[in-house]
Amino acid sequence: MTFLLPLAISWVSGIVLLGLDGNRRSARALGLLALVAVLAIDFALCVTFTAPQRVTTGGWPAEVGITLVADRLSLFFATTSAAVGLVVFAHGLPRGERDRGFPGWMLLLQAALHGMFFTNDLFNFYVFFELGVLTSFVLALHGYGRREIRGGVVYVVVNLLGSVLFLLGIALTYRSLGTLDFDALATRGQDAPFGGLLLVGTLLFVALGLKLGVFPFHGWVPALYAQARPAVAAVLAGALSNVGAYGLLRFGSTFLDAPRLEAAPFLVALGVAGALYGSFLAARRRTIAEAAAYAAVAHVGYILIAIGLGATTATLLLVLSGALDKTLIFASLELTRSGRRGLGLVAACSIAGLPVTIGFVAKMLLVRAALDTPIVVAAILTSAAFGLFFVARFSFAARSERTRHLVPPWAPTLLLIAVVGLGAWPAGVVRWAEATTVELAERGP
Amino acid sequence: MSLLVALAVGALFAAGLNTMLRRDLFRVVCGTVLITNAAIFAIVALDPVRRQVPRLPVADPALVADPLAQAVALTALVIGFGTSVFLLFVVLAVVRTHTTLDVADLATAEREEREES
Repeated sequence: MTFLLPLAISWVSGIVLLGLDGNRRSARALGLLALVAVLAIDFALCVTFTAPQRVTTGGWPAEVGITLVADRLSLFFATTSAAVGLVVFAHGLPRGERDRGFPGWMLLLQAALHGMFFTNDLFNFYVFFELGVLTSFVLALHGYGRREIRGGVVYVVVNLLGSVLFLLGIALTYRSLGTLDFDALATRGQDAPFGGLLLVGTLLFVALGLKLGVFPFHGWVPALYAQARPAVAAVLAGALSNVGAYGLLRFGSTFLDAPRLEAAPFLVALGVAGALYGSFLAARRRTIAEAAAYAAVAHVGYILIAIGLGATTATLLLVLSGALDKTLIFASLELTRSGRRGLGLVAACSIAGLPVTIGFVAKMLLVRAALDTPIVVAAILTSAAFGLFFVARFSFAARSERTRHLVPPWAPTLLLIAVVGLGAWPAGVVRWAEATTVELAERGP
Repeated sequence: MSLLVALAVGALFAAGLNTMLRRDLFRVVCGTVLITNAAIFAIVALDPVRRQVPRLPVADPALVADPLAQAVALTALVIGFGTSVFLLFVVLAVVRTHTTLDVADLATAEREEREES
């Protein structure tokens, strides 16, 4: 039951905050307190985890009532997203006449994310997915300047299309398997006709890929991240885009296992193309925000390679390192030059996969998973080499670029400690990720 | 019948996509509304009759529609309304800040601002 608390806290406080003036100190303190509580409960659940917790509302039998489950995979994603949300919130949200709703929307985004990670039903997943998408629309447009609106138009239209494809995917899942419950889907997916599953899998892959920013659906990524405010880019890149990876892992290892195995070479090829394309452009862009956006495209490429190879441990580590790096690099855009050079440079090094960062551990696991196919290893290393140019470019741009407004660096410093600390002592996280791999294999076919 | 439904959904989808690819932003909104409704139509048309036995005992199970498909369609409809209204608001914001509805003009504005900075 305790795992429902983060969902309830973020939901209720988000709605309360929307009714308050978010510029006030008391409202911001309330939001910060709620986010600290959410992260603390998520983390405590991770530390004391023994077996998956399960709640069905109203005492209905499974498949009828709304079932929520907290297993290792959900808790991993929930904790990561809560940490990102807390750091961005503590780092400083925009203040202004039109930013009153900002704290409320940040908490509602957390509620949507927790709902998506804890639900055990494709229908509820869709509802929380839409809640998250709508919240992200509001956040993306915040500021309502010319830049934000231009970036927002692309993001909104592309994501609406993604939602429609996801809806069609759900409809076809129900048509071919007769249920939307994850456990029932996992058992019925084994003897379902392959053709129907392939169609469902393609639809869900495109929908979640749009959300994640997979190459060639990445068009909105630079448009949004370079135009939106740094705080918005940080939370959308660090927290919301994880939904795509979560969906691919959860569905791809249960009822869509057969289509994923069939499409594995395709996924790896798409990932390699995205990694090379993204890191090449990241090394060439002029502004930091744009370069970081392309680095995010490259990172999604790595995640896709890991999913194609079936390396769940590497995927989870990549998701964690991506969330921390991207949040740190976008948050560092609001620091003084020396702060940006210090904190942002570490994030850039982690993105490039240099040692003693979490990014290095994740990429090392990826390379280890890909050792059987030398050409993939070569592609990953080439892409990482472009990453070195990105670091050089970043240290140059960090010196010359102007900042819109400055914020004290203590919240990103905590992130920096996490990036380097987890890079130096990754054993705990890796053990958790390995246990998640086992758990996913047990829940799957 | 199912062929007719499939053709209708396909036609709606094609019309929506065609409208969406125009330069005029208002048409883009109309296109997304059409596509959303095509998807909802597909859900309603996909499985009108429950394939499992209904939980309440009734004389003829074939007469009972599947509530889950309808619940999904209804939820999607409401969410679709919300997103359409939001999209119209975005278009309004574009008109207010750029005094244009043309996507090409927005691209030009972006290029000009980048050259200035």
